[in-house]
Amino acid sequence: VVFINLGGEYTDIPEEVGFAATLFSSAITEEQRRGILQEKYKIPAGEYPSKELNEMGFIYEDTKSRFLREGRIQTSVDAIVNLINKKGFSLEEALMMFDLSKKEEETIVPLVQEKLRETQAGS
Amino acid sequence: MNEMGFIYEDTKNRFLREGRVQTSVDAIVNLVNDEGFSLEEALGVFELSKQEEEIVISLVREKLSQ
Repeated sequence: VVFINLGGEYTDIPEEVGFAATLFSSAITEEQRRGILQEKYKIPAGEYPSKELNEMGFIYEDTKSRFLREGRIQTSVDAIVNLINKKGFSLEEALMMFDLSKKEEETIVPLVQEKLRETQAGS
Repeated sequence: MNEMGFIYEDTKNRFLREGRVQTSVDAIVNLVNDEGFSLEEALGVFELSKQEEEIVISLVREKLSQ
């Protein structure tokens, strides 16, 4: 079995793997990708599998950021609920323990509130 | 194709774990330094696997000693 890393950043795409490298390269924008596929490889815009590629998650940096963020959110929500329920923290006090971006906080707060409702309803 | 599916799942799990560990380490350091938690007490707040806990403890100790 041979693994070929096609998603990295490189300035010279080897011709032999040019098509696959273009599909998975993280060094170009989606617009550039479509342009290369259409102009160089004659793939019409309608046949560009953008949805499938996104679902496959082979765009390395997007995949990495997405799952890192998901892991951060998962852990933060559970821990914040524990700090509130078991240690008597307020939501604001608990949030301060985590180095979260504004966007992460906006995602986490409703999830915490929902989990608090569930845990408090169950008790 | 099956192999690629396994690689995807491995990659996903690796980054999920990295995110969980990252967040836990930073928050545990804050709980210990700012709230007077013991390491064990702070760890108890997080729902980590045994493997994640081992990694987190090591990273927290390193950060606390800096």
